[in-house]
Amino acid sequence: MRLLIVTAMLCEARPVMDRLKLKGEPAGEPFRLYRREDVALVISGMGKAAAAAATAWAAERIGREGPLAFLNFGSAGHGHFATGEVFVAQEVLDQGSGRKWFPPLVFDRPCPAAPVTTVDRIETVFEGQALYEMEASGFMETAQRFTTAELVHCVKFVSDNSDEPVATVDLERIGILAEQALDTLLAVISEVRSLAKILQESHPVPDAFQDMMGRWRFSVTQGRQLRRLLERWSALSGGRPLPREPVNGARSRREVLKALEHLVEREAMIPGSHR
Amino acid sequence: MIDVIYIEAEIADHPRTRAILERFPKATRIPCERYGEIFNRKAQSFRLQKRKPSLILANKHGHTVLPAPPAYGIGAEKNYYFSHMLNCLYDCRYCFLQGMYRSAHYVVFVNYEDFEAGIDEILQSAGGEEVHFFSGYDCDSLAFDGVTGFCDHFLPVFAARPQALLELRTKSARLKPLLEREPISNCLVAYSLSPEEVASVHEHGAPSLERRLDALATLQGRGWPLGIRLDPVIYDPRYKDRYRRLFSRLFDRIDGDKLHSVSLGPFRLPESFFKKMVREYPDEPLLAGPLERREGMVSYGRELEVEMLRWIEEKLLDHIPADRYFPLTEKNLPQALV
Ligand code: SF4
Repeated sequence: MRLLIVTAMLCEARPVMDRLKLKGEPAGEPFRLYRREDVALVISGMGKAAAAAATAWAAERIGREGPLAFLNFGSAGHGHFATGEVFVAQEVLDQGSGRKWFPPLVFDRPCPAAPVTTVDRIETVFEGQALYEMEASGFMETAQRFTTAELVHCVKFVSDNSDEPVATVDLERIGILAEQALDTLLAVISEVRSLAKILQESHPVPDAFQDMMGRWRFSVTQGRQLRRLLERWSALSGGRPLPREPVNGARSRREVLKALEHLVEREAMIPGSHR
Repeated sequence: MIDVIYIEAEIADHPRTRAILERFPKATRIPCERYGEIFNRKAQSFRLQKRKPSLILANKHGHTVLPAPPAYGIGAEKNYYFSHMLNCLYDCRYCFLQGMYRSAHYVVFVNYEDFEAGIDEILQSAGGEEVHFFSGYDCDSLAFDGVTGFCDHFLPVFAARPQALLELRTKSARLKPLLEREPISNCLVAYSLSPEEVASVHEHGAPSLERRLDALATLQGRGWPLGIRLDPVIYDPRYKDRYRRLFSRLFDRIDGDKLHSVSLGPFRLPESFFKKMVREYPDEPLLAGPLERREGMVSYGRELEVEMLRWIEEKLLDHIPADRYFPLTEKNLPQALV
C-alpha cells in the first residue's frame, strides 16, 4: 500500500516529516514532495484548488501499486472547540458548491469526529458545529478518484476559535499545534493502514502473472482473463504452485488461456477445493 | 456495536428514530439529507465497511411494497416483498447483497406506517385472494429485530389481516419477539439452512446450524408455522453426504409433516452482482468454483445444477409431504435469497 499525506503549509507538515523521517525530493517540481518507503507527504499550499492539484500530482508520482490511502492533515477554526483539539472529519461540505462527502468511519477512531466545511476565504465567523478550513473538499474530490472512500480521511486540529481569532495565530503556533496532534494522526494512519492491508492481501497479484504476461505478451483483455484464471487457481488450490507442463506445451496465447482454464475447472471439481 | 449513525433530516424526530438512537447513546450522530448520499456513493468497499458498518436511519419514499420475483412463491398466486431494512448483520459469502449494494451500512426505514399502508393497498386490490408478503429479501427479517422492533410492529399488523401471510426469513436464533407472544397462523418463520460445512465456512457471523435447529425445534414446539429454505445450494463434490447429514439432523428435531413449506434453489446471481463480488473477494473459493454465465446470470453448469437439485429433492421428499415442496423454478430464479 502507499499512503499520501496532504498538508497546506510547511509548518503543518514539518512535525510529520520529522517523526516519519521523510526526505525531500528535488525541488523544481510543481509541489514539494517528501517520501520514505511507502509514505509520502505533499505540501499543497492554501485553498481547495491547490489541495486538489497537489493530491492528483502526488498520487501519480507515488505510483499505483497496491491500494492508495490519503490523509489530509491541517489546521481549522471552530466557534468554541479548544485550540489543540483534534478531529477526524465525519462529513466534508464544500461551502461554495454545496457538495458533501461522508468519509466512511469504519475504523476505531482515536479522536472524536466533527463536520468540516471548506471555505474559499479565511473564515472568522463560525456557524454551527463545523470546523472551518480551506482544503478538505478539494482533497476529498480528488483522492476519492484514486481509491476507495474508506481510505480517504481528513484529520484536523483546532488552531483558532472565537477566543483566539485567526489573526492572533502565527505559523509557529500552528506548528506547535500540529506537533501536538501528531499522535492522533499516527493512530489514524495505523487504522487506515490496517484497512489497506486487508485490500492488499485479498487482491494479491498472482505469482505467475507478471512472468506469463512478459512471456506471452497478452492483450489487455487477455491479461484480465489470465489474472482471473490465476486468482481462481490460487483460491481453489490454496496457493499450490501452478503446474507448468500443460501451459508450457501451448503454442499461442489462446492455447495458454485454454490450458489454464482446463486446469482451473478440473481443480474446481476436486473435493476440498471449496473448503 | 454501532459506532456511527446517519440520520435523515426528515425522520430525525420520528418516534422510532428516537427509540433507536436511545439504544446507542455513545454513537456519533451525523445528519444527512437523503440516505443515498452515503449509501449509493461510488468507490466504496463493501468488504471494508462490513468490518464496522454504520447505521443509517431513513424514510422510505413510495414503492414500499413490490412484486416478488416469480419464483419466490410458496403456494399463493400473489407475492410481494417489502424491505424495512437494507443489508444484514451476517456476512454470508454467497449473499447477493454484496453484489447489489455499494455500501455495507445498515439502512433502516423507520416509517413502518407507510409500509403498512402499502400492504393494505395491495390487500384491497387483491379482492379477498390470499397474498404472501416476504420481509427478508434485502435483509434478515429477525437478526436486527432487537434494534428495529420489526416484529412488535408487523406481527400484530398481519395478525389482524388473515388474508395475508407474512414470511419472516431468517438465520437468527433470537426468538424473544416470537416466544413472548402466541403463534400467529399467518406469520411464517422460514429458516435458511445449509449443510454444516457450508454454514461454518460461508455464513460468517450467522448462528450455527445447531442453533438454528434448536430455534426451529423450539418454535415448532410452540406452534409457530415454519418454513425451510434450502437456498442457495452450494456445490461441493461431497454434497450428497452433506445434505444427507443435514436432513438427518433436521428431521430428527422437527416434524416434516407439520412444515408449512420447504423451498430449494441453486446458487445463482446476476452477472453484474457476481462481477462486483469477485472484485471484492477475488480470493474466495466459492466464487472461483465451476460456474458459468447463462442469459445474464452466473450459476453452476446446467447439468451439475440439475443433478444436485434432483438428488436433494429426492431425499427431501422422504421427509416432507410433496405439497409443501416449492422448488425455485428454472425460469426466472430470484437473484439470491436470505
Ligand atoms: S444471505 Fe441472508 S443471512 Fe446471509 S448475509 Fe445475506 S441477507 Fe444476511
